[in-house]
This record gives sequence, structure tokens and C-alpha cells, in this order.
Amino acid sequence: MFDVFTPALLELFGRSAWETLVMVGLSGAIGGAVGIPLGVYLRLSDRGGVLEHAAANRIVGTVVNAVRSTPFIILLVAIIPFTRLLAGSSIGTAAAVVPLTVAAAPFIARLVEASLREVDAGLVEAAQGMGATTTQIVFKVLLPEALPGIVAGLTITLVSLTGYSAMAGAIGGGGLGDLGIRYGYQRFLPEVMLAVVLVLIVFVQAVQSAGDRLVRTLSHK
Amino acid sequence: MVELQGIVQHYGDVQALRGIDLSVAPGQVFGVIGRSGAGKSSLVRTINLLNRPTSGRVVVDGRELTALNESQLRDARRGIGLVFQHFNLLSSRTVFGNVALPLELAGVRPQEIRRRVDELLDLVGLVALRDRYPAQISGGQKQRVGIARALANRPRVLLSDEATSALDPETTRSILALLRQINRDFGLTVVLITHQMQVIKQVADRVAVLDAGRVVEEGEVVQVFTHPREPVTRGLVEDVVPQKLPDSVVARIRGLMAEDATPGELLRLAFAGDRSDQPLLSDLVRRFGLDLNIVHGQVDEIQGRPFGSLAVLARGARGSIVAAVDHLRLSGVRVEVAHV
Repeated sequence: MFDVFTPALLELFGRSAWETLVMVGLSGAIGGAVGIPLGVYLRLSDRGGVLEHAAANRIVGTVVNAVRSTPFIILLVAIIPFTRLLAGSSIGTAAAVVPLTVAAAPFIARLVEASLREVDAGLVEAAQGMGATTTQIVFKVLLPEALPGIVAGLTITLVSLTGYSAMAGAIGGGGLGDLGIRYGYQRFLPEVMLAVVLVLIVFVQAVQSAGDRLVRTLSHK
Repeated sequence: MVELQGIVQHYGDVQALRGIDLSVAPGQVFGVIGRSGAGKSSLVRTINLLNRPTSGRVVVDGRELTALNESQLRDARRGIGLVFQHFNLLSSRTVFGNVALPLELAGVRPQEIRRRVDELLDLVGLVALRDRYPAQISGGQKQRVGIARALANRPRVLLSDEATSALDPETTRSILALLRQINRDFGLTVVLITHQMQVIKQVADRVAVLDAGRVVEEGEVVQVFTHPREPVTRGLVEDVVPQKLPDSVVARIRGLMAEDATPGELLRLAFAGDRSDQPLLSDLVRRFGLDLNIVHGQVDEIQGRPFGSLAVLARGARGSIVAAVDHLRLSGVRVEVAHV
């Protein structure tokens, strides 16, 4: 049954795996770079936060929710002009990173916001009592205390992105999911489909256990 | 050192503080006691303006905090240490890291931070636990970390918000002893918020009783303990010095009185300071020929000054009892003739 794995297909397999890695890694990293500050702002501007601002909080919150409620496959095509602006093209792996990042950032923002909410308000009060500035409260208290939760959130995000990246084939993004659809489904090669699924299982498993291990090391509760 | 003038605090329609005036002298341990909801936490947070009062002035160490801008206020807060009931230590930092935090926030150089933190850990007796995380140490140890942290920037005033309320009695005593030691050694002014009269009794010089957002009584601790004026104060003092006789004791006294036809009166005596060293009771026996039976009471001390309250069943001629009561009153003992 393994005779379908010709050298050409194996090479394609390797390239697809690399594309998945690039898409998930890049969109996770950029999504984090955008989502973490966004999550911090959502927490700070919320009621009882050190930068309480109801209107700004509602606006940012609404945008975040709007993006999160758009199904990924629709988001993928809906923001094509924006993708072309950023990536220079609307097709290919680099182009797929744009919608994946747009989907990841608000997701991460909400997870970060939730982790920050878990930080005892008493710690912020203690820091304020010591004369801490808002920046100091964020970097010396909130982020370090919420770090295990944030890492757990990023792990979840990477796993979700792996799933989303399968849809990137719709705009020629490539990746393992795309390979599975084109070869496994459209060319009736169930072995390829199985191999794709197995590789993805291993990948997700690896991400999750690395994340879990990191959370355990970081958490001193 | 700490002056509160006309502090009023509203939360929406709720009036948490209704015009508080307090003055804490330098080097004093000033206790603020009240039941839950009396406004204690609001009050302590007003002193460093974590709570900005709706109106009123806050002056700490000569600076009017209510007149400062944000950055001046941050600077002023470094001179006010704060100790919390639930410690509020960062779980992500070790004991060392927690004590270092206020120094980092103040921009102290790392080398200087290490020196200062080690000095503080030595002071609170936690050198051996330097690299532990808060989750790995006991409540009393956590509060020692909290105190070391509060002292890091060499404050002139230390605020303690129910610092011992989450601790067992023995740990409470050792934490209070530490606060007292710091107060004496560094001349640090301490404002201590609590709902436990025991805490006031052990460390405070003066006490203010807070009820429904007002200071209803204020004075020297011994004075307030022995001569509580307000019902709230009596209720609080009751925890340490019983103001009412337990029902079982009253029943026993009734029994004793019924047994014997000799006239008798139940006298409630309260005394403080030097009086308690005089042989007052044997005086009564000798001078007035009374029979005395101590049915209830206690003698204790507040920071080295003895005080006590006794319920004494006195028997003898009516006239002798009246004369004895006068004699006691002249000697400075508060006497109540109780009816049972």
C-alpha cells in the first residue's frame, strides 16, 4: 500500500509539512505580538482596570468579537485586498499567513485578557501602593503573574491555527491539510490522507506537551 | 505623622466614611478597630490614596497627598509601606524577588537591591527561605515577606490592613511582636487596622473605634479597654475583657445569695495601672469586715500595664458594703453594683 509514496510525493509531503510549520509559526508569532498587547489593553481598560475606559474597551472588544465570529474560510477570502496589500499577493503560503494572523490575534487577545483577569486584584493594589507606574504594573506584575496562563493560551492558539491552516489551500497556501484534500480526497489516495492526519496528530501532540511542560515550569502556584 | 481631616468617602449612594478626623503622632502604633463594614479598609487605603476620598485632606509626613499630582503621589507612596491580610505576594517571584520588587520599581541598582533585600530578610528572619516561592512557605512566613517588602524603601509610615487576620493566634503574636520591634527600632509610625481587640491590646498605643464610617471613640488603649464609653466599643472590648457576666455565672450567684441570709451585693470592679498592684480586696476585708467571694474575672496586662475586671460577691452589713464601695471609688477603681 505504500507504493503511492513516490519520491516526488514524499518531497511534496516534506514541502507541505514545512509550509504548515511556516504558516502556524509565523501567524502564531505575529498574532501573539498583536494579540498580547491587545489583551493587556482589554484588561486595563475594563472596569476596575488601571486605565479604565468604558468606550475604548467596548470598541476594541466589539472588533475582537467581530473577527472571532467570522468563520475562518470566509475571513480568508473576505480580506483578500488587505492580504494583497501586506503580502504582495493574494495566493501562496505568505498570503495565507495574513488571514491566519488576523484570526489568531483576537483569539490570543481574549485568552490573554482571561489570564490577566485571573491575577489577584490585590497584587495590582500592592504595586500601586508601592508607587508603580502603569507600565511597571503591566511588566512587573500582570504579565509575569499571568505568564503560565498566557503560555497555555498560546498553546491552544497554535493547535487551532494548525486546524485553520488546512483551509489555507483555498487560496493556494499549501500545507499538509491542502495536501490531504488534493491527493487524499480529490485523487482517491486514502494512504496520503492517513499519513497527513498522522503527521498532524504527532505535530499537535508535540506542541501541546511542549506547552504543558513550559506551563509547569513557569507556574509556582 | 498622619493627619486625616474631614475624610468623606462615597461609593455611589453608599457612604463608607462620614467625616473622619484622625491624627497619628510620629513613632506611634495607632490602632483602628471596627466590625466588618465599619469602613476600616476604606480608611487605611485613604491614607496612601489608593482610595481617593470624596472630600477631605490627607497629610502624611508633612506632605498633603490630596494636593499632589500622579507622579508626586507615586513618589510619596514609596514612603508608606503597606501590609495586607492576604499578603498579596507575587507567586511568580521568590521570597527574594518579592522583597526586591518595590526597590526595582523605585529604580534602585541591582547591587544595592541585593544588599538591601538580604538585610531585610535578616531582619524578618527569612534568610534561609530566600529562594523559595510563596506557595512553598507558611502563612506567617508569607506575612514576614510582606513586612520585609513594605519596609524595603525605608518608609516613615507602615499601614497594616488586617495583617494578622488570616493567621493562627501564635503566628499572630509573633507577627505583632515583629511589628512592635520594627516600630521601636526604626521609630516607624504604624497604623494598624483590625477587627481583633487582642491585636490592639498587644501592640497599639492609641486606638480609634470606627463604626458606620465614623470614629466613635478614641484614646489611649488602656483607657479605652478599662473605660469603654460607646456600646460598639464595649462590644469589641467584650472579646478580651468580658463586660457582661455569662448566664451560668449569674445563675450560680443567685444560688449563692439565696443560700445565705446575710445581705450581699455583687460588685463589678474595673481597675487599671498601678491600682492593680495594691492589696485592695484584703483592705476591704480588714477595714469593713466584709466576706468577699470572687465569682468571675480576669487580670491581664496591656503592654506591661496591668488591668483587670472582677465580679465580687460581697457580704456584710449594708452600711459596710456602701462604705467599701466609696472606698474603692476613692482609690480609682470603677465600681458598679450589679443586680442579679
